[in-house]
Amino acid sequence: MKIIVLYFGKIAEICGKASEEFEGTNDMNSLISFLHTKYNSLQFHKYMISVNKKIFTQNVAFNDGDEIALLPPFSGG
Amino acid sequence: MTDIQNNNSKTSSHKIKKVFVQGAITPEFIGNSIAKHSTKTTIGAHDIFIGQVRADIINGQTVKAIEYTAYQEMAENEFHKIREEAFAKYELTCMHIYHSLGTIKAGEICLFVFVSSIHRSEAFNATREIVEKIKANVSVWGKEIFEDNTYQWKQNTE
Repeated sequence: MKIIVLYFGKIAEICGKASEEFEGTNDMNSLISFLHTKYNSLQFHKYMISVNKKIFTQNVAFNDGDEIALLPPFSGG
Repeated sequence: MTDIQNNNSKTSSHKIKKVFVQGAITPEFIGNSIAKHSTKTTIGAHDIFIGQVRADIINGQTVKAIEYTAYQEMAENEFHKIREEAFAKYELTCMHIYHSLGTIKAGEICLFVFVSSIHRSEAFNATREIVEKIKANVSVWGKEIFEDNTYQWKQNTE
């Protein structure tokens, strides 16, 4: 099962990229664990997670082709 | 054919409108927007919010520009939701929202909200609410670029 993860703002700087694909992470909690290990300072920063452009605040299972995004606090306007 | 074909249970009375603009929003654009509404003669009041990039001074450094980026599709969905909520809550004739992307210099305009109604109280009330929702809920980020080309990520306040 493949997912694409998008990074924005400060989070994109921490991860050093705008996006990447992953295989084998099946839900939000396991993705978060994986990313916090891969990108050490990520856990110290505030962000929300969206799945297919909807924000989720609790664990959710992924489906093949899902688009996940890590969203730092908004600062538009 | 029956209604089953239309499986879109959410009825949206307005099409998704284009909100993002590359670069600064010009005063001419704003003036033209107002001019275009003179034919809508049921309108009695317009309220306008204009967001301008401020040369903020942070730790002795002056902001010379803000670079705006967005999770565009998600932001457009949220702008649409904000529009729909405003039309549902207030009696409005018309509403337009424009938000800049890219680097906007201090003194230039990055946000334009334009609300029209028959009487003024609707326009007044709706405009403020729309602006607050944009700043809180839309997936847009601003990078404040200082005169010495260092930067920090903008933080929206209450």
